[in-house]
Amino acid sequence: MLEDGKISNKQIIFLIITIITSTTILLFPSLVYKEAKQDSWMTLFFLMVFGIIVVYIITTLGLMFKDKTIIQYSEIIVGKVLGKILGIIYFVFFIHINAFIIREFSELLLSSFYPETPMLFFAIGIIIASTYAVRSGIEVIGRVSEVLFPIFIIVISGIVILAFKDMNFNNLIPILANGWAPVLKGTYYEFLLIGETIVLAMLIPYLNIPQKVRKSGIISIVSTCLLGILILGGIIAVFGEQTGYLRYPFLAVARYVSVAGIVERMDPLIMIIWIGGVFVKISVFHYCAVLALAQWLNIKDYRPLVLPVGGIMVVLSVILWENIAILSEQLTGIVIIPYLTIQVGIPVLLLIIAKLRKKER
Amino acid sequence: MQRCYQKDEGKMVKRLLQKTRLLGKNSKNVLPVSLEQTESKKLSKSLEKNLIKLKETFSGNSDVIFREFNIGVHNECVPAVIIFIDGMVNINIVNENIIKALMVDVRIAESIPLNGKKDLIAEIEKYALSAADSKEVNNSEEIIEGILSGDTILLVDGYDVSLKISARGWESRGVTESNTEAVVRGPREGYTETLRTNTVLLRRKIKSKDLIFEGMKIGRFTKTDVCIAYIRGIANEKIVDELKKRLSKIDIDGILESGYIEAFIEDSPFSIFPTIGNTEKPDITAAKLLEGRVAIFTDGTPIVLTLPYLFVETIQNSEDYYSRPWHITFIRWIRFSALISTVFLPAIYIAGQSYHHEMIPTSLLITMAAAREGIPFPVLVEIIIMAIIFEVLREAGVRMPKPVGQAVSIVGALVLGEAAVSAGIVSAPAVIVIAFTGISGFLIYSQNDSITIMRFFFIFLAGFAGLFGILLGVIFVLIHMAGLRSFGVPYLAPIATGTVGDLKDVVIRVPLWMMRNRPSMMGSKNIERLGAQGMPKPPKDE
Amino acid sequence: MNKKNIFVFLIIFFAFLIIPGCWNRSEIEKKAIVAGMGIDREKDNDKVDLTLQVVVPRKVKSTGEGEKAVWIVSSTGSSVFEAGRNFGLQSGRKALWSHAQVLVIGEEAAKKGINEFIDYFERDHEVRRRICIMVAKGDAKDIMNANVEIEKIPAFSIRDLGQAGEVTSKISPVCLQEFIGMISSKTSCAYTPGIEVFEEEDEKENKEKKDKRLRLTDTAVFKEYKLRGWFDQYETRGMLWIIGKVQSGIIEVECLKGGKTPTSLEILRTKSKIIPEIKNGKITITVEVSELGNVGATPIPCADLSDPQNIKELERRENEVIKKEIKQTIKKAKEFNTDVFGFGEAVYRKYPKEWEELEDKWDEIFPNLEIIVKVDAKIRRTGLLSEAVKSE
Repeated sequence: MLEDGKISNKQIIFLIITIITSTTILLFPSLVYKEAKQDSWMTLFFLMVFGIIVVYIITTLGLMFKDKTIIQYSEIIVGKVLGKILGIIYFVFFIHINAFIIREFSELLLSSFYPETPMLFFAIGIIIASTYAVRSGIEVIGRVSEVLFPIFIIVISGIVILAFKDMNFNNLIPILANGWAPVLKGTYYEFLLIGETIVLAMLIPYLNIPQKVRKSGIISIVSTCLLGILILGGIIAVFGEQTGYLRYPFLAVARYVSVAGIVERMDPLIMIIWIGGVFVKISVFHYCAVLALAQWLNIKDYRPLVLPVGGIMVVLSVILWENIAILSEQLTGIVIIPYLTIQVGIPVLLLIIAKLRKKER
Repeated sequence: MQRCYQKDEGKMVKRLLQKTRLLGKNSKNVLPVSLEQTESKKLSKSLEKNLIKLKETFSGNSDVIFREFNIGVHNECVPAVIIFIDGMVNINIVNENIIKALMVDVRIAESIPLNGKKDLIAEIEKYALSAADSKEVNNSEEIIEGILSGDTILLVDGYDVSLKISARGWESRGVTESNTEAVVRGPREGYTETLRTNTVLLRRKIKSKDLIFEGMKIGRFTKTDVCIAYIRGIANEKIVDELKKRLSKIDIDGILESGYIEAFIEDSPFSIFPTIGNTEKPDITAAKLLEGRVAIFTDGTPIVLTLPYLFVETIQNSEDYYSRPWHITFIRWIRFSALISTVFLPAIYIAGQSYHHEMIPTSLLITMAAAREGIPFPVLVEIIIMAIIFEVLREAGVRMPKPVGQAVSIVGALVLGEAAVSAGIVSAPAVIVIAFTGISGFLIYSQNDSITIMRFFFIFLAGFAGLFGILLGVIFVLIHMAGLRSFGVPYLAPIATGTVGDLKDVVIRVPLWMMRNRPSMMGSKNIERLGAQGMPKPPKDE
Repeated sequence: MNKKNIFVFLIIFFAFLIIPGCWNRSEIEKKAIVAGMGIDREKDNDKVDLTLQVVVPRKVKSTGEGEKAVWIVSSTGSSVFEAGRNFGLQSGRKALWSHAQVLVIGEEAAKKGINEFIDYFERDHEVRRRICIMVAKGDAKDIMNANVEIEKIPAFSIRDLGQAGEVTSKISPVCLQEFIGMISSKTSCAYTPGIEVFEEEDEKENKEKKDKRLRLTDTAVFKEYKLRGWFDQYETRGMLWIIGKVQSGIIEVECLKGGKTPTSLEILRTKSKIIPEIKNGKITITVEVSELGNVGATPIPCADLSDPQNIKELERRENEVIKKEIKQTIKKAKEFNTDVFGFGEAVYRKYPKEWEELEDKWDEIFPNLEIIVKVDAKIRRTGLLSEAVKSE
């Protein structure tokens, strides 16, 4: 293996919850609301089900090859050529998704806090931090997330709780006014988020106790969805119809919260969870990308690759999308099918083929 | 020197060779000396030859005393010399127990015929010498080392073995209250500069046969006595072995303070965070040993090193365990807040003032804006100037001789602070911020070095990128800390390695009767430290 | 990790921070803190006339009595955004909008429609959503220029006026977020408090010098971002009864034994429910209001409150008064055809399917809507007296 670091199960749970939640609370509420309106929070129940299935698939597949990542075992399952192709696909995928995330991250900071600062500033800043973390190893990333996670949760819950007095629960009824269809469509947009658990496919070899990963994965999914219900429900309760056209509803909630007239404009708190959470996400995907490349090229030490890969991500994040509108459109449009294929489709196929091959022997 | 006794030299050679082998086995913790050196540094049987060699070695020194005398009765006396350094020996013992014993009491006793003695040194050691600690030594290197360490060397004519008698005694500071680690409740004794006094202070706390002190000498010229202390069975064997390995690799001119040792054995020399702790008090050392740590005593300094050292120890203090849990939990939170505020307050102030005006409550903002009218410097520069002035004042306060000390506080606080604000050079809020920052820093003074660096780091980050910069900096520091290890134990344990049980002592301080186990991250095999008594309760009425 | 690499890293990191410079940094003393804004439209063209109250920080602590610590400045532009930028033409300082507490919109501007203002304030990240919105009777400019005692910064006292006015329940403060929430509801109607300047004779000095003061007055009612009309103070309370926002106030009821002086009943808590029902295609809305109160003051002849019958009678009279207020309001709302109460919204919540067809026709349905009002008022306490102080 390329490194000795191991992450514990608690850390993997924290990692996954942080990864999924940190971008969920950003762009997604308004995108989902456009479809499912006041029932948006129900989408998360379906998401939970879907998530558990996906986790099951990925962990079953991963546990069959406990000490290999998907890059390595795909070669075993479908042969060297196809396996190499899959490896490239995953590598590109990780880079692309990170470019997406970096762009979302920069856009939020730009439009809400630092209008005049050039976008590169944020991208480079966060990638430098991520490079440092990835070079230090996955163990370090796990520990940092363990420290950041409680803060993350406390701040999010705190904001939701403080916003309680501004909530109007009438905004959540009528329930199922338009039936299940919009809810399902809303869930469809959120599939991407669950697909991010694909990182498990790269990380299983580095877990302390690989056998427990299924349980950890399920706990992560359930917690994330519950947290999401809390957040999404809270946002809709405060803003009602406006949720659809506010770009960053959770940020708006944080801004709106006021306690005794003194605690006001808590947006910097959002910055804390935003930067902390997104950092964890970016470094994990960065790590996966670098690991994928290193294993694909059969290099022992991935460390020299970290900075160049990071650089590619930065550049891509700037040039791939002209503005946030195009990015949002892609998120709910073009990008879903390819992503889902990579995140879910390919593992399913691999699993089936692997099981068949096992039966053959 | 009189030759009173002529000995048959031939037989002695055989005896002495035997003795040499025996001596080799008996010798304690001395750095290994190669065989050739032993050969050339061997004593001769002739007292005169030995004396000439030794006097030559110590030529020029006026404090090395060569006291020649005769052992035994007049016509059967044996010439002998004791060599010691004036001021380093307990002169009473030398006079009474060595010189008098050998000069007078032997004569009085008269039960030891000295003629034809094959094994005079051993006999002297067993029967005549009434000094407590003595050892046979036969190479001149050890003899020289012994003399320089304060021992007394006894050379007897006709034997090439000498006796090294430990009768050390010198002026030292005496066990006093520690200045740097003050307590309200708890023992006040602090270490002194003498190694033996310090180890004794520790022995008095831990009267267990498993408390081990392993000594060694480090330093080419200083030959400083260094001692590792640990409790066998509690301390992690691997850590002790690793430590011994690292210590043996140190090759330096001199070890003047434990800080030198720290510099040579630490895990990450470039990190701003220390991975080895230090203390001046025996009760703190004892507590740490009982948790599974290892201590290093250095002769010449009252500062004792303890390792492994973890981040949480910054906010823990051994006095915590002497007081009640509720209060101490509160104090721990205050300490933690102080840590946060001393590092981040100036940076947050700058970020709020320069980038994030919406964060500050409106009336406060107006007050700050009013205070900053007319100030020539931007906030970043203002804060940096004040922070540097503060560091200068603090450092001056430490070095100031007492009579002048008062002036520092007057000049610093009143003149600089007040006058600067009135003149409009700095704004009052900046002064307040820096003052509070400084005071919080004093709360956790042990970490002052890393805190100061971090404070300036964050000040710059805030000045250039506002809150984003601060957060990025926090992430960097976190990554660094997460990767740091102190002798194999992760620096951030137990916060970041998942054992919830250890958190009992970090976030809050649970009552003593709840702390069943030692911290697991120390890796010791002996986990339980409490018996099964449970919570204290008044007896039930029958 | 290689030690040299760490150094290179750190150097790059710091260089990256220092070299580009800091784009968004601005020192607080170089900014003009805007405390309140007033928006008017010029009469001939549609240009926006923005009046700003800018805080002068050094005057806040130091000036003498009566002097304001603000600087009042006007700037024009084709939109609020531009007018705001044009402020830079008059002042060396850049405006800081995030602490503005009050937004006053002139009557004429409100009539013409305020949707582009609202859009700007929502889109911009600086203006806070808790800013208090009010409509001026007349020009916003006059409001901004008026004097308010006690506070050095008039805009802050305007905001406090709004919050204090809740005590009478004849006025209800509305912040930007609430306004938008109402406008974006199914019926697109909203209300804001109104504010006016009145002149009072300064009796201390000469009777000729008139002092301009501010006070809250009627409530402005909007439909789809345009000002439709005004509710007077009792009508406002009627509306607040329906939406359940009455928090405190005084209801005057005819004294039990007759006479000119009324008995004053204090309102402690209210709850309201809007219950829509669709039967055979006909929509009925039932408004149920329940209230809890005290007896505040009563003229002596009517003061025997130890008899439960008397209390019941007072309650009955209270019910009548409240009902009257509500009905009056509903009537006026129907005149303006503004469903400020959220009846449409209530119908949607209970009958989402039917609402799809009704939504477009709501403007025709609303004026003819049958509304049943039920009031249940209770008097809990009678203060510290059970009978009046006797005077023999």
